[in-house]
Amino acid sequence: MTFLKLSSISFFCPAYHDSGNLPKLIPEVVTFLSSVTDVFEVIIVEDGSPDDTGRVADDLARQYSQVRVIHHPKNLGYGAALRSGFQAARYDFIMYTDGDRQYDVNEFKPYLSLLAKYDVISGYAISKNVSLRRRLQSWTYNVLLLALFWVWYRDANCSMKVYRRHVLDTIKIQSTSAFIDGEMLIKTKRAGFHIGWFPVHHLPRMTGIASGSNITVIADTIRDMILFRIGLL
Amino acid sequence: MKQKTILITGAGGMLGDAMVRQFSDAWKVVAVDRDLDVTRSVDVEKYIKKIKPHAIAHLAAMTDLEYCESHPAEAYATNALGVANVVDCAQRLDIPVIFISTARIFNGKKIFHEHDAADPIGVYGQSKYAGEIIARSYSKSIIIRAGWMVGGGPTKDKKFVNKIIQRVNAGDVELKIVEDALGSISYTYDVASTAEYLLTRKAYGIYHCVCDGGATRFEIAEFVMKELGLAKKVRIARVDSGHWKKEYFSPRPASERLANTILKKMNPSLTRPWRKALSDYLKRFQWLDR
Repeated sequence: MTFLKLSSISFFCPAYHDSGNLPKLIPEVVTFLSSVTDVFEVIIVEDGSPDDTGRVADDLARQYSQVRVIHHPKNLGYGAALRSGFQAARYDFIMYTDGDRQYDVNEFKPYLSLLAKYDVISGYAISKNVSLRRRLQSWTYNVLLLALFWVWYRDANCSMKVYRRHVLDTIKIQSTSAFIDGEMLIKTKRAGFHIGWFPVHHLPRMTGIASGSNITVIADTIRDMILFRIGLL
Repeated sequence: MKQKTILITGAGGMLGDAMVRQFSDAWKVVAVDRDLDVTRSVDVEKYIKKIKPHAIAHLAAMTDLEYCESHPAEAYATNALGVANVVDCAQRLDIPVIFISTARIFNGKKIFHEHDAADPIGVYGQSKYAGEIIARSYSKSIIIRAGWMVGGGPTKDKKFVNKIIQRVNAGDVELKIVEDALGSISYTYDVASTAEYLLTRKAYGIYHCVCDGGATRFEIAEFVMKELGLAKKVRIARVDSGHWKKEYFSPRPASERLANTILKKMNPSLTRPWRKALSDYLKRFQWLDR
């Protein structure tokens, strides 16, 4: 019997106010990756967090040889953090999730076989453990993608995704806001690649601070969507 | 002379038995079981190219829930990667594929229709759902979701109906049956005839192929004993699923009920009440040791 092992994986997670989450997340990620590939790296993108997230990340990099840290000198936002992660990733499959442990990386496991048929696989949250405001925000995001780009994704900005290297070598990422997920999915589809969707559970946040509802985050996301729509991004 | 060839993988199982019988009338059937390792893409491709089938019924799967739960890598390899290997090759050669999925892709919180969102619990359900997502990527796939399988007779039926009858044959006069497990029955011979019906009509898509009405394990056991004339001889005791927790440790949805909406709309004669199907099954074979 042939078991599925991916050739090599670059995993990254953006981290902001996640000093309480990283010491639990990173060991889980290392254990998980060891079970699905022989070659991997873990990149923590520390996004200029004002707390001691940076120090905690550096400690983890000292502890695990596969872990390295990218520090943003100041907070550049979610999109910029993802871009840094994608740029730093060196291996064949590029996997990411958030540093806040609201997703369980082990939920990738049953669905990695999808990569035999799809170029990108993305989770969609069965239900989100967030406030009504965040839920509405997420829904609006998906509706805007439909209205502006005529694509419908049930949960475009679910941060449980794996990209094959050749997709990232083909598409050019330009957003620095949270539109990045939408932009990448749209460009993936336009380039003729296939996206497979699988269900994941969104867990309650145990520690850290959510920044997704910040008004500037929302404004930047909508600005990038519109710029992309009119061809200026 | 039979013009068309169908390749049936996993043909040695309960459903495979019914599928081989069903398709043998009009098709040339090539049946494979464990002799083809579906997790090996090279072997799968070589085999399909050698047989040159006009259709593939991909039944090969790891279906023992407890084994899947304790051997997840094997379950994902057979039930998901195996599907990718078959579907990928079939797609390149433009061969339609029938894929058997399961009610266990749902979380059991209601009666599920064909387009409800999946939320599998346990390794088996997740591995089958991964297989289903892969099968769905191919436009010429027929995805049949089944419930509690009934079929195969005393020699091939590895499921509930035969298990309880064999316990009676072994001398048990009391059966402890769970009353809190609810599901829909899929009668293998009906599933097989539906599969041929859909394939010949090129009706690609997702279907729930179950008998009408839901039943608890207790109701099924009661019906089986009554039909076999054992109602007075065998006592059926109600227990809850916690009773068998040690033996059946894999997480199971509380309900595995499916609504067969699309099939019913397409052709009402494709489905029938579970009691009728079960009665037919019990009459088909000699069950009791003399």
